[in-house]
Amino acid sequence: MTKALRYALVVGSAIASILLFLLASASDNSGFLDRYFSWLLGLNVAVAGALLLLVIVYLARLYSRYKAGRFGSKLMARLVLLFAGIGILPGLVIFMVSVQFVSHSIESWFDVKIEAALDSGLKLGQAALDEALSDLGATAGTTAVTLAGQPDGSARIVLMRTVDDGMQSAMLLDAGGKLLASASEDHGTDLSPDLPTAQMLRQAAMPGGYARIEGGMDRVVHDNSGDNNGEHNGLDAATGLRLRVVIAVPEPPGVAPRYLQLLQGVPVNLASNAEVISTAYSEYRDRKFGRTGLRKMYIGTLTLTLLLAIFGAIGSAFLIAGNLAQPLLVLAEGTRAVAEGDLSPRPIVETSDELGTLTQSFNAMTGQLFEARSAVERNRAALESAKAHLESVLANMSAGVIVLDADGVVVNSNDAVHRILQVDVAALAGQPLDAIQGLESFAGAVTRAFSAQSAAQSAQSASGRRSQLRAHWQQQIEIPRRSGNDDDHDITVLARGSRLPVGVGSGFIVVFDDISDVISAQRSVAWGEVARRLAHEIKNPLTPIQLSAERLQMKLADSLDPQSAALLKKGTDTIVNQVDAMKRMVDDFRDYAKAPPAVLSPLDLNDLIAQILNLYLAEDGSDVIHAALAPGLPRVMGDATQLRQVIHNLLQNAQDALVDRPPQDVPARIDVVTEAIYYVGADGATGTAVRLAIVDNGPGFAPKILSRAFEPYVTSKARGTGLGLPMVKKIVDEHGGRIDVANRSDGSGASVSILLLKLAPEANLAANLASA
Amino acid sequence: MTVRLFRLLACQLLLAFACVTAQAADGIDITRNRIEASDDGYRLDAMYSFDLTSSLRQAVQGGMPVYFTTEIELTRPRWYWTDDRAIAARRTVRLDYDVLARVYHVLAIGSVQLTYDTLDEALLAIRRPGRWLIGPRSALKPGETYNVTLRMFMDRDYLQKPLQIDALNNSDWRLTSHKKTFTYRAE
Repeated sequence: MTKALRYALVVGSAIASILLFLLASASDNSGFLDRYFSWLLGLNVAVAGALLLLVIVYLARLYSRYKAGRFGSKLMARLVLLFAGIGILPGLVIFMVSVQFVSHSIESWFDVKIEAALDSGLKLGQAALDEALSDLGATAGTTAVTLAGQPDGSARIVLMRTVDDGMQSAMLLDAGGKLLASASEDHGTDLSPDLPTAQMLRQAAMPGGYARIEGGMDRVVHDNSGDNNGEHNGLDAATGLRLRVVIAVPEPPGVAPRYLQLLQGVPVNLASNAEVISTAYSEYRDRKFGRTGLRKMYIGTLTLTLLLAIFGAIGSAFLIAGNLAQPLLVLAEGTRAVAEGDLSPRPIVETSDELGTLTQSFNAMTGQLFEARSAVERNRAALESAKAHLESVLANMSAGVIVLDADGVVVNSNDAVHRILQVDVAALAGQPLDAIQGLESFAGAVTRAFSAQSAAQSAQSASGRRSQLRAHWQQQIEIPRRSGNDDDHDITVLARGSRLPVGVGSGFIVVFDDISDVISAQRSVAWGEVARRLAHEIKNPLTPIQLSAERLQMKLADSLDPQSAALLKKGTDTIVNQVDAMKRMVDDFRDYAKAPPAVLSPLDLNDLIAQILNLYLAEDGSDVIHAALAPGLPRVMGDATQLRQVIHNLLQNAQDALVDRPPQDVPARIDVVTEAIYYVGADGATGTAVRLAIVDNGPGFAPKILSRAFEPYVTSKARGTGLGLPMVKKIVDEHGGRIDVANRSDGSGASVSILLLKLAPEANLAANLASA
Repeated sequence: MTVRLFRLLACQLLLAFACVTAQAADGIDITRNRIEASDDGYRLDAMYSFDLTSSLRQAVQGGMPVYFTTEIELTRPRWYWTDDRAIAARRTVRLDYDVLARVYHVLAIGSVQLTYDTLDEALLAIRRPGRWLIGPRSALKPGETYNVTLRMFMDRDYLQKPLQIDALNNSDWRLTSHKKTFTYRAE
């Protein structure tokens, strides 16, 4: 129920009450609001109509809500019916009784006897007045006969005599109405107002003359006031009631006609009684005519009252029902909202009764629910974030993690497993580990390791010792590459396994790292050591061998026949040459093992490359080397001699790779590229690095070579120590840089790129400024 | 649903209103209507033709006064504003019967009372009233054309309250003319 309708109802009821009071006040037999009675009635009807409309609107809304099954409409309808019934039923009973009463009682007022009595009374009065009038007429007749023929002067005496008989006045007039002689009760009064009119004279000329009762009720119309009730008072009017007779004087023929007028007041008691009767008669007639109207008026007023009462009752029923139902509706709304998950507090009903308490406790309940739910939410969010954190840690770990259940079935694994083992284990979760193709040997090693550990544990628990044995095993496992793919080298992993006591039953967790690189590094360190020792051990006897051979030749050359001398010379030369070669080789080994430490100083890499390329370039257009040097390259910290060796080695490798090309192929080409690289360091700061790449379009590295390119004595060339790239790697490592070798993505040619991270201080500064 | 209800109600109201307006003119015809210019102002020269209903006749003969009101209005249309109401006059005539003296009185309010022996004579005086001064000469502008609305009716406001109620739905108590409209060019 909207506020506007509510106010309309209240205001309408107030107006209706006032109007009804006015109507009831005006319905009595008084002059109150006489002239505006119909307006008042109309207003009442209009207000009743407005209220009816309002109630219909209410009922229609209630009905439509009821039909639509809106929540609370049933309660509302029941309450409205209850209250309206309480209001309407007694009113209806009173109305019926009143209508019955009015319609019968009013009829009973109009008694035929009373009417007849009043009629007779009136007739009596009329008869009395007629009697008096005829008496006066007779008197006038005799007086007129007396006056006939008398002159005007002597007529006055006759008239005075007549007046003495109880007349008010007597006049003798000519045909024009002119006064000829007069006599009156009290002398000296002005008689001119009493002169007969011309019409009266005309009538007097007829036989029988003019005889009329005059005066009496002189009801004055008041335009503005309806109060004419008191003017029917007979006593007031009686003073003016009089009889007038005008007759023609029977003159002898030939004399101008003259008229006699006699005025006589009606005796006061007769006049007043006659007036009372006539007034009563009139009023009775009025009532009689008005009785239908009166009944209509009473019934109408009663009906209006009933209607207003009904409308008021229904309206009030709506108000009361609304007030009663509203807190319940608020609560119901609240429960529905809670069911939908909205735990916000409801508006509180400000009453001190049970309903108010109910809504308050309801709000308290939803508040507690809200608290509990938000706590659960918080816990869940914390758990989820912890889980996500763990998962991301696991996913980004370099080590592979595989979780197995008690039967060796893969439960879970992280991304690193895929990367290391080249098998998407995560996609095969749910399969036994040993059923996964390519991992049979790995699975076997893991199973054996777990068996061995459990055996050891059993043995330990049997012997009662506890302390030393660790809870996990650790083992290096070689995983052979799948057959048919012989380019790949074997993978060496370091695996750790432990039992998982969590969850239903037991499980296993295997963590492993790809240690192929570590192995490779160990191998190169071992080779270095071997080379150094060998060089030392081999180099010592070489000089005596060489010297002995030279000495043999020198001492024996002259003492031998030329043929033998030639043979000797050939043999000693061979010895010396081979010893020289061996010395050089040993020197190479020594250099590799004991390279001098790099002396770092600011250096322009582009300058260095340009100097070196001068040696390779013929500048005649047939060059295979193309340089693309980035201008403004920051200066790096480096040892010019060592870097020169690096570049020489790489260019040499590239040129060697291009020698065995089929002639019909695209022209050979070597690209030397330098550029500045900007990166974000681990501490979040931006850094600059210089990259040097040497790319050829030769056959590229063989896969077997590629993975071990930086190990010594790994070479694809017929002649070569296999120390070139290891040397380069060693130097680059000393410069704190990174080196990567790879085959080009299009499959033709190799690419070696060196990233120098140590820049000259001022260059670093400038680069930072530039990037800022 | 509510809308349909309202429509039904509105139809009923319109119907009722139409009935009331149809009943509005009962019994009185204006047979002559003329406005004359005289020295002291404009006068209405009108004649009416009607007869009392039997109820009214009985009521008059029972001593109940009956009032007749004549309303006249002269307006000049103005395109830029509401009409100019030059003259709006109203005259009420009372007819009553003195049951004691058995004579009929006709009293135009503010004038002398005339007495007649019979009802017909008294009614004749009401049907053919004297020329009634409706407004001074200054009220109208000579040469202008005015719309005149004339109406004559038995004035129910003077009836007693029960009769007023009765008259609402009883044509015995209703005596009215149409609104007679004509134009008058002021002289």
